[in-house]
This record gives sequence, C-alpha cells and structure tokens, in this order.
Amino acid sequence: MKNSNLVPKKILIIDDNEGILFALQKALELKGYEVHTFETFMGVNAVAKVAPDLLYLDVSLTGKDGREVARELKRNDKTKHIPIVILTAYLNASDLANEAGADDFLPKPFELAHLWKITEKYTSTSEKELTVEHKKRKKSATVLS
Amino acid sequence: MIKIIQSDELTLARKELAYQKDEREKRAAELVVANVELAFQQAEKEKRVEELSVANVELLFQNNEKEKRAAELVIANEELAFQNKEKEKRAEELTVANKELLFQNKEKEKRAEELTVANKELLFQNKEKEKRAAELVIANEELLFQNKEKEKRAAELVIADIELDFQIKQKEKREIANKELEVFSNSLKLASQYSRSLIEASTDPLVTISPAGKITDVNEASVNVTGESREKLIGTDFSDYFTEPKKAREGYKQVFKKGVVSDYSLTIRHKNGTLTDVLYNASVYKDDAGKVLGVFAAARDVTEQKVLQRERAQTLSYAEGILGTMREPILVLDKHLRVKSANEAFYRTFSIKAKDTEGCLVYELKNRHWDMPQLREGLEKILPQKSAFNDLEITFDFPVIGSKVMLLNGRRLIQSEKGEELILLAMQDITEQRVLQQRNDSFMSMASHELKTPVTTIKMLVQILQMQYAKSKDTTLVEYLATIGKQIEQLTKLVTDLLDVSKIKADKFKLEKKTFDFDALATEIVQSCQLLSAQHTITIQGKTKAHISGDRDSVSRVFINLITNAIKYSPDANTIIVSLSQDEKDVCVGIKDFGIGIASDHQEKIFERFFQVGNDSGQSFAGLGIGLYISAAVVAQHRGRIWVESSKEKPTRSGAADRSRRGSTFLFQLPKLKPKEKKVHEKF
Repeated sequence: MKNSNLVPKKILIIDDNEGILFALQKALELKGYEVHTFETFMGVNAVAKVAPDLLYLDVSLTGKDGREVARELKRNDKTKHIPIVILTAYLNASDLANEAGADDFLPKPFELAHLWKITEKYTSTSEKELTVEHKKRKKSATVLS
Repeated sequence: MIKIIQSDELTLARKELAYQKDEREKRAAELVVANVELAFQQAEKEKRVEELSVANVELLFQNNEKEKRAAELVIANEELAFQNKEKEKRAEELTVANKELLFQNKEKEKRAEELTVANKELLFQNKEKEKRAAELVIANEELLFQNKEKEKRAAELVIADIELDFQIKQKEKREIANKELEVFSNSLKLASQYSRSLIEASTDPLVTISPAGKITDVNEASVNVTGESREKLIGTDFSDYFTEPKKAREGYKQVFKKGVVSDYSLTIRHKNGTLTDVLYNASVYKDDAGKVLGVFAAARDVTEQKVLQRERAQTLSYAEGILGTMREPILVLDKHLRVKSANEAFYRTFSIKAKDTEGCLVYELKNRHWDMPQLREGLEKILPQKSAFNDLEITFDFPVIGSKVMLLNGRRLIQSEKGEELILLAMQDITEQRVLQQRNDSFMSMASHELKTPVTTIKMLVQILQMQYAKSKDTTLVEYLATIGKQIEQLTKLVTDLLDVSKIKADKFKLEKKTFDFDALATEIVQSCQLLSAQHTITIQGKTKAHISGDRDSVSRVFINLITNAIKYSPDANTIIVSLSQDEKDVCVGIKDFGIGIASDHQEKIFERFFQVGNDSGQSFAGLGIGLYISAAVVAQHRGRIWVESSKEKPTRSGAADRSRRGSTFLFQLPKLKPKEKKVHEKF
C-alpha cells in the first residue's frame, strides 16, 4: 500500500456512470485510498466539505459540463488547491483538460497501472513537489525557447 | 184672518225665501260658472304668459339674428363696396388695356403694310435673280459645249497620234509574231503530245463528249473502269456506262448549260458488273471563235472515300451513342477551354441547358461556379504538357442544386480529321458517396466513444479480480478471468483502433514526440511479438544505430501491426525477417514474410481503410482492415514513407509454387535525428 500515512488520502470521483464510479472506487480502495463518489456535482461547498486530496472529474456529467465544474472549483478559495484530473472518452482529452484549467487528464480506456500512477503523482507529497518543480522548469524552458 | 194673512205672508215669505234660495242657487251656480270661467281665464292667462315668455325668447333670438344679419350686412356692404372699387379699378385697367391693344393693332397694321411692301420688293428681286440664273445656265451650257468640242478635238488628235503609233507598232509586231508563230507552232505540237501523254497517264477516267452526248475521246483509265475498248467507247452515248443514265445525261447537259460542273456524283458500271463511285468535274471546251465544241469530263474514284465516310459516320454515331447513354457527365473542350459538346448526363447532373453550355468557357459555366483553382491547374497543363489528370476531387457549391463532390479525369484528344486538339473531361458524381462516408465516420466515432466507458469499467474490474484471485486455488475462476481479460484487451484495441481511424479522418491525430533509441524499440517489439506465434521465428537483421524523434507508442503500433500481419498472412510459413538499416537521412525497416503475397493491383489499396486481402481460395482473415491505414497515418505524421513489395508467384509446372519467392515485404522509412538533436526533447 502506497498510502503509508496513518490518515488515508481522500479521493473524490464525480462521474454520472455508476459502473465506472464503482470500478474506480474499488480500484483506488485497493491501494488504501479513502474514496468518495458523487454522481452529480452538488456545488463547491459539497466538494469543500469532503476536502479531497485529489478529484477525478468526468467531462460529460448529466446536465453539466465537467469543464465548467472544474473552472468553478478552481475559482473558489475553498477548493482551488485541489488537484483535478479530467476523465474523458473524447479524442482531445488534453485540450479539454487545458480548457477546464484542470491539472491532468486520464483518457478512457486506461490501464489500472496508469490510474494508480496518476493518483499517486497527485497525492504523494514528494511527487507533488517534484511536479511543481518540473512545471517550473518547463515554464522557464518555454520562455527561453 | 191673521192666520190667513200670516199664512199669505208666510207663503210669500216662503216664496220669497224659495225665490231667494233659487236666486242663491243661481248665484251659486253662476259663481261656479264664474269660478270655472275665472279658472279658465286664469289658465288662459298663464298660457298667454307662457306664450309671451316663449314669444319673448323667440323675439330675443330674432333680435339677435337681426343684429347678426345687420352685422353681416355691414360686412357684406363693405365687401360689396370693396368689390365695386375693384371692379372700377379693373374697368380702368381694361380701358387702359383696350387703349394699348388698339395702339398695338394699329402698329401691327402698320407692320403688315410694311411687310406687304417688303414682300413685293422681295418678289421682284427673286424674279430678277431667276432671270440672272437662267441667263447663267445658258452661258454655262454654251461654255460646256465649247469645252467639250475642244476636248473632242484634243481626243481626236490623241487618237490619231495613237493610231499612227499603233499602226507602226503593229507592223513591227506582225513581223515578230510571224517569227513567234513559227516557234509556237512547233511548241504547240510538242505541248499537244505532252498533254495527250498526261491525259493517258491519269489514273482518273477522262472523256470528251460531243454536244449530242456522244463520247469523242477517252483515256486508258476510262477503258479500265468500263471494261470496253477505246474503239467501242468512242461514238457511243456517254450515259450508257452509268447505273443512272438519266442522271448522267442531266450532268453533261448542265455542263453545256453552265459551262462547268464540279463534284457531280455518278456510279460507273464495268461490263463485268463492278461498280465504281465517282465524282465528275467537267467543263466545256470551245474553238477560237468561242463556239462550244464539247465537254471535257474527269472522274475521280471515290469508292474508298465513301467507305471511309460511312465508317466514320458509324464510328461517330457509335461514340455519340456511348456518350449519350453514359451516366457520368462528360465535357469536350476545345484548345481555348470552351465547351465543344456535353452529354445528357452533364446537363442532367448540373441542371444546365445546352445553350448555356456549348461555346462557353468552362470556367464561366453556372455563373463561374466552375472557376476553381484546382481545375484551372489541371486543365491548363493538359495541352501544353500533353499530360492528363485522374481522380481530381473538386467540391462545387451551386446555389440551387447544392454542393456536388466530383471526381474529374482530364485527357487530351486529337480529332484526326482536322488535327484539332481537344480535352475530354469525364466526371463522376461522388456527392452521395461522400455523405454516406461522413455519416459512417461520425457513427463510428460516436459508437467507439460510447464503448469506451463500459470497456474501461469491465477492464478495471477484471484486472482487480485477477489481482485478488491470482493465488486462488479455484482454477476455473482463474482461467475464466484470464480469458475475459484477453478478450477485453482485444476489445480495447478494437475500440482504440476505431477511434484512431476517427481521429485520422477528423485530422485530430496528434503525436507526442520524444527521442528514443530505434533499435531498442525494434528488439522490444520483436520479443513481445514472438510470444504471439510459436510457429514463426522472427529474426532481426542489421541495425540502424539511430535515434529518432517521434511518438514511441505509435511507432510501436506500426511495428506490431506489420509483424502481426506477417504472422496472419503467412499461415504456412515459419520465418519472418525484420531488417533494419539507415542512410543519411532515414532509418528503414523491412518486415518480410513468406506468405500468400499481395496481387499488384491491391498493393496501393491495402493502405486504405477497411481494405482486406483474401487468399487465392477466397479465405478471409480476421480483423477490421485498419491496421495498415493507421500505420500509414502514423508514418505520414512522422514525415516518413511506407510501402510494400510483394509477389504472388504462380505454381510451377510441377504443381508447387516456389515458396521462397512468395510473400510480402512491408517497408517504412522515418527521418532520423541528426547527432546534435539527440538530446533535445520536443513535444507537440
């Protein structure tokens, strides 16, 4: 189990397909994460109340655009620190994630290994720092080029 | 007595009383009447009062009206006074005007008198002028006559001089002419012999005909075409030797009448029955005095020409028949790209009439909707470069008939008779095909998109179960889970492939480029593919020793697709060779199998979507036929090249095919990194 801290990391999944919600929950629980699931977006406060360490967000929620949800969460002080990974079956997953202001994307279909890797990336402190560092480097490289 | 008196008095008193009572009653009745009368009078008075009051009101009203009338009358009087003044003014003005008129009339009369005098003067002057003119005409005529007389004299003098000169010259000429005549007479003899030999040498039948229609002379060709001897022909009727003697007679009569006839069609009959179609050119010949001596007629054999003409007409009608019945629109353009002709299908497809098509510049058709840069480029090269184009796809956007997607083929044609250069433009309407294709593409994209979520769910759950029960003693469960796992992997690959096809079609196929060691990738893929077939040995020959910048996963898929194809299409072979090489710019991979091979006419199509090759016995192979399509797209995205070299060897006489020469080699090239670029990572 990667989650060696006493307090397990909290993952929130928002997806309107109960099948994938169930499978994701089981897959992440296997790795010791505390998993919360929403079938619909119930507002910023509901998310803030769960206070997850990572949010998996489906792009096409019933009656709501996942990108809009992500932007709303990133605008709000209570939730803007939560890393968001966009879940999508659309072809242009990376473009969608960019539009949403999300941190990453996980295109369907994916391997369990990929799911665990990306979850660990955003929940492990050291990895998180590394990512920030990497982003900084990438940014400066872009400026130079 | 007293009593009587008293009684009388009483009676009297009573009478008096009765009388008084009567009187009183009368008075009362009179009073009643008087009261009634009074009441009546009172009522009358009241009526009078009322009437008076009404009459007063009426009077008041009438007074007011009267006052109004009086006021109006004052105004009317004022108006009348004003009008009278105006009338007086007008009358004064009229008087002045009349005076003026009178004055003017007098002036006019004066002018009229003056004019009459002037006219008389003018008339007199005109008459004088006419007289002068008549005198001038006479004088001119006299002058002209005198001039003419002078000229005549001068001309007579000139003529006399010329005549003198002429007579001198004639004398000289006659001397020269006599000499020339001698020479000419000799040359005439020679010329006559020369023309005779020319006439005889002519392969065209020539005859001379007398005014009576008898043949007077013939050449050898006439003897040959009729089969009659010269002696037999001369003196006989010209018309005897034709299938239509009447028409022949009319022919030479026309010549005598008009002097000349050309291209007169007749058929000569040989005595053995052979017919020869000829065209006659004939003219009269005359003696020195201009008298017509006969007709000279030359015939040209046009039998072959007629056959050719008939054949040409047949070919033309054949070609027109084909063009007319073709369902594909066709245009024939001249060298200036103007429409020479179009077929029915063209008019139908583009809803256009012949009058708006023929003679028009092709770009001007349908309000210049045909003016497309690609079409210009293709058409304008055909004649100068003697080139052609095939399957040029053009989308026309017409206002009424809508969008039309056409495949155009252009060819150069030579109209042999005139040597004119033409362009044949054949079209295929693929609008409907395109619509279906687009519908199909969007359905495929949607279907594969919708499949992704359930596939991901099942895949995750199967993987979880496999992990949880990896060490279970329940072998059936483990075995089932393994099979489900494999099938779900296949399903995932299918969905991914279908989506990749959608991405390629939608131009959304993007690569994540990174630098990687090409040989290492090849070794890794070959090792994993080796696990797929126990029957085949996959060997690597050579090395590239190169790094390339590209999408490692996508390049892996190209390798995997080609190697799995090699396995699939060589069911009876046991070797697959992966050769690696490089040149200055590229790495090159060849994947050779010894399988069923690909017929040459299929070698370009195999890179198309959903195209699959079967073997000779009609056996088909599993799969969607999109592996090579995706591979080609990946290679193209890397700016590389992919192709196939294949042979389908036929069985030898011994009955067995030479297996070592059968099979296919798929090759692909990818640009390699220059050494200095190796460490640079790029992403796009």
